[in-house]
Amino acid sequence: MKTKFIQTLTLALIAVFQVALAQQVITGSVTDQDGLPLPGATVVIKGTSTATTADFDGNYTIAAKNGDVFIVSFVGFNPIEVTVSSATMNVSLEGSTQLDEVVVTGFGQTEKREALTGSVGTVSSAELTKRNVINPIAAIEGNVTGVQFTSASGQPGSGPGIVIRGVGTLNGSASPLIIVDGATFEGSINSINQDDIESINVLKGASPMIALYGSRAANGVILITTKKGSKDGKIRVNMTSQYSFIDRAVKEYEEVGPGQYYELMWEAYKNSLSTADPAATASATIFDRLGYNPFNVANDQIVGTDGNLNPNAEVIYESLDWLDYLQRNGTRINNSVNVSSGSDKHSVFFSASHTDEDGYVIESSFERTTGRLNADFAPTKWFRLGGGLNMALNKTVGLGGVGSSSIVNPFGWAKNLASIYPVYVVDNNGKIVNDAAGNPQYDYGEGYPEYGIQSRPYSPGRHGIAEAYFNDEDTKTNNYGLRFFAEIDLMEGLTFSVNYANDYQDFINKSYENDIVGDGAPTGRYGETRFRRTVSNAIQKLNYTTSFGDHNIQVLLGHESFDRDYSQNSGLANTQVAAGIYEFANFTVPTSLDGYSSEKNTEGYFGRIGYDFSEKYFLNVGFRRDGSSVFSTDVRWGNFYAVGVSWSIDKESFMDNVDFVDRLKLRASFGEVGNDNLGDFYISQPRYSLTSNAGAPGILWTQLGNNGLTWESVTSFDVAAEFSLFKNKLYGSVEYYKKTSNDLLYNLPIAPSNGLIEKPENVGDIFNAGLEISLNSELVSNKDFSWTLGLQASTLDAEITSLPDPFVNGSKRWEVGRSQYAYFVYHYAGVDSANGDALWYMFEEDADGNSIPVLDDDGNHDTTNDWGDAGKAYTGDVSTPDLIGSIRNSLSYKNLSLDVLLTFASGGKIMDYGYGDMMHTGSYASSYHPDASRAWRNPGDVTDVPRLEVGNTNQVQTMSTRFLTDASYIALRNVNLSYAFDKEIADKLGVDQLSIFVTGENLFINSARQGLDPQFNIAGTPSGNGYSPASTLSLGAKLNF
Amino acid sequence: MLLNKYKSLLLVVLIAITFSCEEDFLETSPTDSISAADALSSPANINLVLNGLHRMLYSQNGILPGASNARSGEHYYIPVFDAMTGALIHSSRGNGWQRADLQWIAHREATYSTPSQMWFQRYHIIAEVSAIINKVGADGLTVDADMKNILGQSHAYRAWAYYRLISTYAKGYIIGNPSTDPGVPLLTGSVAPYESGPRATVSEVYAQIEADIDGAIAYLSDGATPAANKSHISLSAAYGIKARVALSKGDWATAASAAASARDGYPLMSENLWLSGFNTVSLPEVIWGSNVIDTETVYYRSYFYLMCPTFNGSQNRSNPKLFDKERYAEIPSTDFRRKQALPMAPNTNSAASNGEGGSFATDPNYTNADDFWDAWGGVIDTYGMTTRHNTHPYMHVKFLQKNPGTIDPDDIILMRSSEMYLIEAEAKAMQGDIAGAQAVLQTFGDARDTAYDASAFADQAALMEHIKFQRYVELYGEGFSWHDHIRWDQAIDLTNSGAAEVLYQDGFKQDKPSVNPDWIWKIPQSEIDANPYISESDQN
Repeated sequence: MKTKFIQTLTLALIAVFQVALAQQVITGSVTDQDGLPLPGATVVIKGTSTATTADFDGNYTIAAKNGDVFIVSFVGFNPIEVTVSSATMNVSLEGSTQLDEVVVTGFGQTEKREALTGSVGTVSSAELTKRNVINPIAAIEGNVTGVQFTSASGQPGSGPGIVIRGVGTLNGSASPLIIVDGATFEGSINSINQDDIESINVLKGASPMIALYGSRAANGVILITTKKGSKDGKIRVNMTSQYSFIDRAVKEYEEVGPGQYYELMWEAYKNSLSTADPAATASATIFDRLGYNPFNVANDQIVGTDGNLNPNAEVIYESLDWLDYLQRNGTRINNSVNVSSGSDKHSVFFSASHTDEDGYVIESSFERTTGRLNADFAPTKWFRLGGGLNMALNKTVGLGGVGSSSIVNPFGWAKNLASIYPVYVVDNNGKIVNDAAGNPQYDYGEGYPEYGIQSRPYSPGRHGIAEAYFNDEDTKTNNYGLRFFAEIDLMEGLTFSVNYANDYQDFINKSYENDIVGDGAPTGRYGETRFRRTVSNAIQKLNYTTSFGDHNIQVLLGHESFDRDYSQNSGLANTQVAAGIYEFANFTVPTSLDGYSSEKNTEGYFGRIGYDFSEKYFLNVGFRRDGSSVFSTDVRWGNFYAVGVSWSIDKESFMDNVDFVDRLKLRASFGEVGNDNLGDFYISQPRYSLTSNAGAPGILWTQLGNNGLTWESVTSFDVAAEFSLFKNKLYGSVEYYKKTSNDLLYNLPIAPSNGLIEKPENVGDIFNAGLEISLNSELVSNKDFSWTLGLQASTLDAEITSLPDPFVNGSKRWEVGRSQYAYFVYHYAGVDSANGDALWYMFEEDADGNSIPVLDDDGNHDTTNDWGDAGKAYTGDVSTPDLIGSIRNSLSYKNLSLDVLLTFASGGKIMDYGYGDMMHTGSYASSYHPDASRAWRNPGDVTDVPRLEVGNTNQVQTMSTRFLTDASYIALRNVNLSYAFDKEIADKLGVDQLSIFVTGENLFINSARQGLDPQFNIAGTPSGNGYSPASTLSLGAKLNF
Repeated sequence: MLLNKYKSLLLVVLIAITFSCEEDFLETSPTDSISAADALSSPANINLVLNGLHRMLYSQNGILPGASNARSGEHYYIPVFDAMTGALIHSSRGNGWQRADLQWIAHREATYSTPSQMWFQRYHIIAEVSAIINKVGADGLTVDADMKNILGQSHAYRAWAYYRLISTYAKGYIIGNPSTDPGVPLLTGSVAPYESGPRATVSEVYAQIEADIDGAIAYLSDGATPAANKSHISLSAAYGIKARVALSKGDWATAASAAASARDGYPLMSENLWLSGFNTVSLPEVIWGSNVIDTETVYYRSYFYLMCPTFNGSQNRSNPKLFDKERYAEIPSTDFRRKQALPMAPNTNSAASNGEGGSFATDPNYTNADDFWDAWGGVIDTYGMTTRHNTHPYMHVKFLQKNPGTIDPDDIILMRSSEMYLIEAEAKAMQGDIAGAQAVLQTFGDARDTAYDASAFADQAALMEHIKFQRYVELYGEGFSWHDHIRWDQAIDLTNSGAAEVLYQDGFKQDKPSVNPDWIWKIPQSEIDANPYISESDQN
C-alpha cells in the first residue's frame, strides 16, 4: 500500500539522518494522566523546527540526541518539557484547564486565557466538529455565557440573530462587530465554511482588547480565525462528508378541521345577525358567507339551528391541508476537504467545500461553494508575510413575502386559511379536477359555479402555493476576500506590521412574479437588484515586548482605516415575451430603474499596554480615538478606552497548601466603547430624496437630519472569578457585568404634523446587567469511559435609566425604570358570563402620564367591553428571559462519543400574535385554533374566550394580556454521536483516522404552546407566518490521512 | 539601534503603501438625495420640490419614511370618501381593500393607516411648502415670474392640505361652532424642537386657509409663469380650491364667484367625452389632475384598481362597484349619464354580498342561463374586461381604463369644471338667488340632458334637493360624498341603495354629522403620543 510505503520511506530517511547527524531514533508514547493515548500530540525539539506527531496509539518516533529538550504538547493539556535521556521517552501530560488556552484577542494579538483581564468566550474547532451549521455563528449558542440567540429562519442558508449581554441600544444596531482574520467582516457568515474555522472568540464587556475596536465594539466583538497550515512538515488531508435530513423544528399551530370550523363560523355569524331568527338565518346562509361546502350535505344543511354540524356531514373535498403541499422532506449534502502543510518557514492551508440544501419547504434551497487558501511565509528571520484568499459562491432560492403580511406569503396561507378551502379545484364530489393533460388546477378562489363554489372570502384571485411555484426568487452572492499581512522585526522585541484586507460581495437578486396569478399578473413582472459592496481595512501596528526581572511589558500602537463602499441598482419591468426567461430583455415595459451608492469611512488610532508581574498580577490598558463619517465634522471624533486587571491567586505562596485549588484567578475590567451603526450612513444630514412627476425631475423632503448627532457610548464593568478545583475535575467561572449605554441614537418620534415622523437624536440611557456562571465537571474519567457535564447560566436584567419622554413602541412602552421590552398593552379582564362580551380593565392617565386603574364605586378595578375605551398599561412582563443557559453532556466510551447540548430560557413573555390571529372573533375564511371552541355561547357560561361575532372588533384585541404567553423553553439544540474506527481498520483503509457520526441540530423544543417559536425575536412578537426554523439530522464521515 | 538598510527600505515601502488616509476621508455624501440646503437654494431646485409634491399625490410613498404605500397621496382617499357613505357601493367582500373603511371601522381607530396617513401626508405637504415660503422670505430671493408661480402653488398647496385636514378631523364648519370647535394643529413651518402645536380652532385654521389661498391667487394672477401642465396648481385650480373652502364654510358669495373664475376656460364635455372613461387629464373639463405615466405606475394601489370595473385585479374582478339604484331611478331617460351604470348587468359573482349572485337562478333579472351569460359576455366585450371579471346589476362604467383589462395606470382627476358649476349653483341657491342658481344649472344641465329644465326647481329646497342629486350623478366616484354629507348634515341609510348590510355593517346606517361624532376622524395615535400639546383627552 502506498501509505505503508511512505511510512517505510520516512523511517528509512530518519535512519539516514540518524547516521548523518549522529542522532538516534527516540520512540515513546504520549498519554494523559490516566494512561490514555493522545493521538496527534506534538513533540518538538526545542530550539529547532524538528517536530513530529503522535500516531493513533499515542506513539511517536523522532530523531534526536541525548540532551535535546522535547516540548510535548496537546490541545487541552499542559505542555511539558522533557530532556532526552534514553531511546524510549514516554511522556504523560496533565489535562489543562481553560486557563491555559491561547485566546485570539484581536489585532493579531493572542493571550493565554490566564492573562486575560476581560471576558472572552470561545468556540473551538473541536466544538465546531460536533455541529452541522451552515451559519457558524449558530455554534456559539449554548457555548458562551451572556449571549442570547433568536432563531434562524428555516430558509436554507439563513443564520440566527445574536445579542451579546443584552440589547444596549434603542434604535441603532445591536449586532456585534464581526472580525474575520483580523478585518471587519460585513458579509454573511454563511459564506464561511465551518470546517475552515479554527476558533470563534466572543469578546464581551469592556476588556481592554475590545476597546481597541472603539466605536464599533458596543455590541461586543466576534473574532473568527480561520485555520492555518501545520508547521511539522507533513501534509495532512481532512475530508468530511455529510448527508442531512431537514425537517421543521417547530410544529405548526393546531387548527380546527372543516366540521368544527363551520360550527364556529356559524356561531360567529349567528351572533352578528339582527334578524328575527338568527340561528335559522345562519344555518340557511352560512355557506354563502364561506363560499365552500366541503361536505356531502346540501349548502343549507351543513350546520343545524342548534349550531352542531349535520351528523351526516362527511368531508369529501380533497387537498384541504395546505401544509402537505407546502412542505416536503428537505435534504442537505455537504462535502468539505482541506489540506494543511508547512515547515518553520512557511505554512499553507487550502480548503474547498460544497453544500447543497433543499429546504423542507417547496422552492427553497441554498447552494454554496467555498474555497480558501491561507499561507504564511518567513523569508528571513526578521520578516514575515502572507495572508489569505477566500471565496464563497452562494445561491439562495426562496419564497416571496415570507413572514410578511403580504398576500403572497405562502406560510400565511397555510396557517391562516381555514381548513375548508382546497389547494386544487374540486368538483361536486370533492374530487380534484384535472385538466386535459391530467394535471390538477390551482383553486384561485374566484368562484367555480359549475362546482357549486363561490368566491373564497380570503384573498380571491390569489394562491399562496401556486404563486410560490410560478414565481421565481433567486439570489446569488459572490463573496471574495483578501487578507494580507507583512511583519518586520525592527529590533529585539519591536515589530512593525501592516495588515490590509478587502472583502467584496457581489449580489444579484432576480425576482419574477408570474403572469397567471398574483401581483405580477396578468403580464408578468420581473425585478432585479444588483449590488457590490467593498469593505477595505488597513491597519498599521507597532508592537513592543520586553521583560526585565519579573516585569513583562507589551506595548501596541496602531492606526486603522475602514472604508465601506456600496453601489446598488435595481430595476423592474413588466409584460413578458416568453415564459421561463428571467432577464430584462424578456420584459418589454420597464417601469422603474433605480440605483445609488453609499460610503462609510472610519479612522482610528489605538494603543494598548499590557503589563504583568511574574505572571501573577496583570494590568491591561486599551485606548482608541475614532472618527466616523456618519457624524458631522465637529462631533465626529470620540475617545474610547478600557482598563483591566487580574490576579492569579493560585500562584501566591499562601495558596501552596490549599490542595484542592488548582487555579484561581480574579479579574475586573472597566471601559467605554461606542456605536455608530444607525442603519443610515448619512443620518446626520438633512436631505431630500430624488423622485419625478410624470417624468419631470422632482425631490421630496425625507430626512430631518441632526448635525449634533454623535456616538452612542457604552460603559461596561465586569468582575469575575475563574477557577479549577480538585485536580481539574471541576472548573469554571462566575462573572458579573453591568453595561450602561448612554446617548443612545434614536429616531425620536415627532408629531406627524411636523411633516416628518422622526428626528435622530442622542437620547436615552439604558443598562444591562447579569450574572454569568459556567461550570464544568469531569464526573467520570477513566480509560474506557468519560463523562463531562457542563452547565452555563446567565441572567439578564435591563432598564431604561434616562429618556426625555415615555414612548410607545408597538406592544412596549419605553419609560425610565423599565426594560425597553416591558409590555404596555390592553388588559384582558375575561368574559362577561351574562352576554359573552370581552371585558377589558380600564386605565386612565394620571397627572404624570402614568396609567392607573380606573376604580368603580366599590373600589374594584373597573372594566369595559370596548377596548378602545380601556387604555393600555404595563403588565409587569418583559419579552426577554430572566435566565438563559445550556446543559452539555459529553460522554465517551472507547471509540464512541456522545455530546448532548440542551439550551433553555426561563422567564419572559411572548405576545403570541400567531395564536391571536387564530382566535379572531369571526373573520370569514380565517382559520381557528381549537381553543376557539371554548367560546362563550349562552348566558352563564364561564370561559376565557369571548362570544364569537363577525365584525365586532371589541371582542378581540391581539395586543392584550390575553395573548401573553410564557416564553420559557428548553431545546435539544445539538446531539452528536460519533464513532472513531480502530487504528487497525483505519490502517487497512490506508488512512490515519476515520470516524463516522450522526449529528442533530434543533431536534426538539418544548415551549408553552405548539406552534410558538419562543426565540422568534427579542421583542417577543411572533407573527406565526414566517419560515419556521428547521431541524437537521446528519449522517457523515470524517477522514484524515 | 540601527535598522539595516533592507529593513529600513521595507519599512518605508510598507508604510507608504498603507498610510493613505486623506484629509477628507471622513467627508461623505449620499447619492440618492440632495441636501436640504441645496434643495431650497434656487428657483430651479424649489421647482423640483413642487414636482415632488405633485408626485406625492399619487405615488407609492415608500420614499417618505413612515408613509404607507397602501394609503398614499390622494388616489386612495378619493374612492374611500365615496365608499364610506355608500355613494360608491362595493358589491362583494372583494379582497378586502377599503372594507374596514366602508364598515366605518378604520377612521375610528387612531392607530389605523387610513386616518394616520391622511393626516401625516397632508401635513408633509404643508411642511414642504412652508419651508419654501419661509426660505424665499428669509433669503429675500427675487420674486420674478417663476418665483410667483412657485409661491402661488406653495400657498395653494398649504390651503388645500389644511382644507383636507380641517374638513376631515374636525366638526363641519356649518354644523359646528367653528370659533370654539377644536381643529388641527396650525403650523406654518416645521422647526426644532418639532413639538408641533395644540389644536387650533376650526375658525383659526380656516383663516389660515383663506389667507393662503388668497395669497396663492395674488401670486398666480400677477404675471406668474403659467402652470406647466395640469398636475401643477394653476390660477384656475387655486380659484377652485377657494370655491370649495368657501362652500364648506357657507361663504356663498365667495364660493359662487371663485367657482365661476375657476371654471373659466374649461368647457363642459360632450357625451362622447363624458363617457370616455375619466382616465386622462387631457379632458377639457379637467382643471387639476395627476398625470400618471407607465414608469410611475402604482400597480394595485392605484385609483383605478380601487374603483374601475375593467382593471385586471382580483379587487375589480370580484367586486365591481355599484351605482346607488335609488339615485339611478331618478336619472331622466334623456340624460346620457344613465349610461354610467348597467342596471341589468347579470350578477355573476356567487359571493356577491346581496346573495343574488352566481347564476340566473339567483339573479331576479334573468330566467335562463343563456340570457344570463350572453348579457355577461356583452358587458365584457363592450368594456374590454377579461373573462375572469364578474358583473353585477348597477355596476358603474364611468371610470374605464385607456387599456381595459390591464393593470396599466391612468390619470387621476382632482378637479374639473362640472364641480365648479355645481358649487356655483349650490352657493347661489343657498344665498337665495333662485334665478342665478337656475341659470347656472341650465347651462350645466343642457350639456347632460336633452330635456333639461332648471326652472322645475323653483325654490331653495327643491334646488338643493336637485343639486344633491346632480352632485351624486355627476361626481360619482370623484370623492366628494363624505364632505357633502357633512356640509348638508345628511345621515347615511343604504337600505334601498343596493348595498348589502352584511357587508356594510356599521357603515349601513349612520346618524347625521351634527349629532354623530363618528363623522370626525380620529387623530393618529402617533400624533397624540408625540405632540406635547395634544393628549388622549383631545382625541376626537
